[in-house]
Amino acid sequence: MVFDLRKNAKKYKSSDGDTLERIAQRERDAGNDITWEDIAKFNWGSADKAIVNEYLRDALGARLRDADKNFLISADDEPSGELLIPIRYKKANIETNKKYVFHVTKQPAPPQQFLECASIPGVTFEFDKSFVRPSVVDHLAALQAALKKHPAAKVLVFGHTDKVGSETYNKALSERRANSVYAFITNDVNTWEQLYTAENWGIKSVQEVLADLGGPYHPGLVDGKSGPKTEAAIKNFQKDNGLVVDGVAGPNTRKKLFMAYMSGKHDIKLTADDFLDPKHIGCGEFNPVIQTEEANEANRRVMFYLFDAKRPPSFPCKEGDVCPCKKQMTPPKPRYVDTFACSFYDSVAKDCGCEIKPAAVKQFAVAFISPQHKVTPVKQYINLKSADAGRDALGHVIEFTVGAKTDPSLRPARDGDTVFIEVLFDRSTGRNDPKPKLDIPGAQELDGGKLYTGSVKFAGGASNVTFTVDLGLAGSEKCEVKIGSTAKCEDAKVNFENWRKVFFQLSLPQSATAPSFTRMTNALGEIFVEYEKYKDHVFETDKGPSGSSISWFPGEWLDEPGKKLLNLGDYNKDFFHKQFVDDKTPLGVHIAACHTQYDANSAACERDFLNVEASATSTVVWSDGSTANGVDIFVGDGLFPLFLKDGTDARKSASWSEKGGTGKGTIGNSDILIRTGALLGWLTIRLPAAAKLVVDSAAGKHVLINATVMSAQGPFLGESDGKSKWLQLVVIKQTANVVNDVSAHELGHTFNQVVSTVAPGMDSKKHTRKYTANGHQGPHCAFGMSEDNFAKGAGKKATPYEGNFAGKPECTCIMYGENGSGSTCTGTFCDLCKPFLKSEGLTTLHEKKS
Amino acid sequence: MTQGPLNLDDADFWGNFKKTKADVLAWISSHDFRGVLIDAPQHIVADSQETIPVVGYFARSLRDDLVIDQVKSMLVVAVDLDSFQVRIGAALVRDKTPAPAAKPRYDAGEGLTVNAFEIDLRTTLDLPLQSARYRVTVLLREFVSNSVRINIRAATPQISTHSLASLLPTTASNQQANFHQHADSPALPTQDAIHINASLTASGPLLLGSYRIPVPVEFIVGELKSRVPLNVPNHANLRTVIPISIIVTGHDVAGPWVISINAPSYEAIDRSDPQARAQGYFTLSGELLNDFPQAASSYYVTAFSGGIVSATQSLTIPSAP
Repeated sequence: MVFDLRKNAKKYKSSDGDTLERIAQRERDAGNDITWEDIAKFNWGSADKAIVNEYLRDALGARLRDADKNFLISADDEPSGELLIPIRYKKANIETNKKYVFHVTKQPAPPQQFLECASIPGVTFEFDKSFVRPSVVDHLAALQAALKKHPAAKVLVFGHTDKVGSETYNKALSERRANSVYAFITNDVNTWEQLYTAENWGIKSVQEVLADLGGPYHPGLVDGKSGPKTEAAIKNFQKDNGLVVDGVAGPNTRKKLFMAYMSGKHDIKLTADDFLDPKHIGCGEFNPVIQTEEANEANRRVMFYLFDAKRPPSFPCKEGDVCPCKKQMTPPKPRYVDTFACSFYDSVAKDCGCEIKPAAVKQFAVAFISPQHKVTPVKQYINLKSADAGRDALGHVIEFTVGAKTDPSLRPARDGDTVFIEVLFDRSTGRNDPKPKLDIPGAQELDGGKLYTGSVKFAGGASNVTFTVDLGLAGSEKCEVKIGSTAKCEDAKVNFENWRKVFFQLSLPQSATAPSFTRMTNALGEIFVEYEKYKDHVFETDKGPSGSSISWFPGEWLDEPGKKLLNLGDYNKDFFHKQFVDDKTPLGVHIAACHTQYDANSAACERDFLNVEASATSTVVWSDGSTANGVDIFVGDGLFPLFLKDGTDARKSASWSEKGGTGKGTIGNSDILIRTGALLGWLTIRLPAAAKLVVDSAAGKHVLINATVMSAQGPFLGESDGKSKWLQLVVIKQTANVVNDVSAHELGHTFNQVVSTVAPGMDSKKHTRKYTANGHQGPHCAFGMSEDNFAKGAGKKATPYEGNFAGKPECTCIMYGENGSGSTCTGTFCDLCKPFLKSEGLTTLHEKKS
Repeated sequence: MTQGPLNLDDADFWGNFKKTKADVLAWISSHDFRGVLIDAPQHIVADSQETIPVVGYFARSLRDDLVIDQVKSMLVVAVDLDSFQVRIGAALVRDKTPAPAAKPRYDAGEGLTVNAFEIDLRTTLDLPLQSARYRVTVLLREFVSNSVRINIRAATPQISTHSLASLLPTTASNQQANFHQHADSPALPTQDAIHINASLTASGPLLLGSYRIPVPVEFIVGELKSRVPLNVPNHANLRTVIPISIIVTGHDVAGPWVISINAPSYEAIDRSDPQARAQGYFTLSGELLNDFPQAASSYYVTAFSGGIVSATQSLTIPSAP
């Protein structure tokens, strides 16, 4: 189609409700045979509807739309250009025998106006502030990439706010945000200094910048509070930048800080020439992506639009004035984006993926990043070092790292996103130090410490947040940690069960065989102790402490001819212990097994007998079966021919004196017999010839015998070493059950049972069957004994209970005072002992001893 | 330093206390002594020692030896002479599991058997190695040892900050004690002493006592008396409070059972008089003796207050008919 010269075209004057089609119809009715496409092509070079609409908006100032969102012209539009109505070219009277030349000019097609967009989401801005936080970096990188793709483009910055505050205030705030971003990109620190003052950014913005710079400038917690760390960070920065070092971020310091921030790792190479004019515009609150009157991060955003430099939009906007905005809002519909009030912005943004589907703003959910556990409940050892992620030196304090759940349908975490935490403890033992807790600032303790709630926020552009839970030091206690992006904490959870791990190494006398320890480990498992053997050791025959040859004694002494039997006692146990100390391995408990257990280190081992009477009528049977005048004295089971401590003759001295007379003499070792085997413990002394003469000299004549012998104390079945609490002696010459029960019993003592001391928060009075002495050594447990009998035995009732608690078959707990043969111990700790055993932390059993 | 009952130098108590054993045995033999004889260093420099030793000998007949378990029965009592606080514990018990064993029954005769023993008060009573003065006594059934005094001196002097309320034992039932003279109360001692009578009445054990005890200055109630929760009667006129501990051990079961009272005195005390004495009576019965052993057996009752130890009284609880 050809039209008359442009100079002959008619100028269109806006009329309400006009469209290009209506204008063309009027022209046809008037004889000018044109179409709306003719008008569009004549004016703008294209009949593409989108381009036509852009021209209607930009050239004619159209803002109203029809149902298909095409612009309608109204009389009060404020055109920035003109619309020409072409005249269909007609030439009458053309003759066929003449030559005519027609000059035709083709209207060029317009370039595409909208090229690309990029956004800086709201979380980059704090409420009511225009300070650009460090997370801007990713978005600016996107902008730079877009410009690279469209070298002919120019950038325009649109600022937006949420709806808190007045329209006018928000218009200005949005302009400041756009300006702030523009200044950030162009390294304009003066503008930032103005904004710092105008908006009172305060120390928090300084901290954010310092934190982003990092290294020696990191101010610690970004909390908006000045403190020593912040001051030190500022001083470091000042020192390195030739500023007065006073720790105060004044204007000069701020300018350098801002420049370092803008021109550092976030720098992009854009200049003012890369931007349209105006370079930035503020839309105020009128074009939210989420329809809400509340403060909303998503609405606090800045948009970058890239337009072709030759065909930028014509902006109706005016800085600091909402009137042009208001005009664009009437009527309010239709819109491409329902929440956008401004018709102009709506049409500009219609091709912007960032704005058209803001709620592709996906949901956010959280997951444990570390530690991760495949099996739950987690068997957590709280008393030893853990190689697992997040554990402290003893494993009971766990630092959790939480991040956004990696799911394509979910969005990543952003600054300001909240992770809600709920921690439930069963507090089954009552131990309260260290107290099981959620250890974060502001955590709330509920239900007597059984429930903690709290939250942490993503900040500083970090993709993870951390929080700490202390599981306490009591075995058996349970804990559930739940996290979520909402207060329901439904995103993920993990359960823990507290265990203590104790290692033991077993030392056996050469040729001895260890029984199965299943009964013991089962009993310990019931109190949440995992007992693990990490080393075996053999005590070699005849090895003993220097100067002693009697740690291994002849089996004949105990009716076991041909054997060498190992005795462990207070005099030699350290020697045997040191043989298997292994400094390279965390040490738990040593079970040192032996054939017998006698002590020989106490002063009481030296026994003196004074004035023991013998006469012609007192006879003894000698080792060869013969009889003689003398005395039998029961010394005790520890009397052996050689003193166990040093191997010297146990017969130290003996003498006799005439009762009521002057006769006296010594008694040689040939007349002193230390019994063994079935007669172990007996000392037989026969009168030497001189003494026999005295007793035979007259009827009723007596001699008085004095004697000194060395006797070990015992026997014992087991011992929990009271000094170091990690060495246990156990006599292996028992049934498997007895060895198991004695070992578990002594370990129970090592764990402070029966309530010799209690863990913090535990009430020792709740063990109602604890007794001390009463026929046994040390504190023990009479679980199973009736209250009446217990009271009688404790001496509170008139009827005696045989004076003590020894040999009471109803007592079944491992911690009952005797576990020897004939014991009715059931091989388990009783319900009274268990809470105390569970509450022990057992944290020091692994300390190396040397 | 010498002159203790065992004639030992202080240094001998660490490893050489048997050097006088022959003399001790001779004395025991010649005096036909049955019982417990103890000694301890008179002075201990805290920084140079790691133990607080008490040593002794236990002499008993062969016949008694078969029925007395020395390890289970021996108790040691240490009374802080400044605070009057009493610590008591098993002297020789260690945490061991004994093998079941029975002593033979035979006529052992009247001969004596003697053995020495050592006690470390740091281990047995958890006494700290800090400046303090203690009077130590060993109880073993009916046998009560002599008492010995130990002065522990720390290299760094400590300032005594005793307050009356902090020194006194907490005896919630103190108000149930009667501090008036009973018809059968022992007479007031004419010298520093505690006298006690223990008897069994139809309503249970009855302990009657009288005392005459030097009063430490710290135990004289000062101007702040009205603020001190002493739990004693006639509080307003109170002049002194004397902590007295009655310790009971048994023939069959060592116990111990400890009954602590705060005996009040209302007589004026001259703070400047070093001879100041408090005297009075106490009567313990009923609920206050709820913890007194009731199993049929013989029991031995001894009272301690500061450096004063009473004579031991026995009380037999018969079997129920």
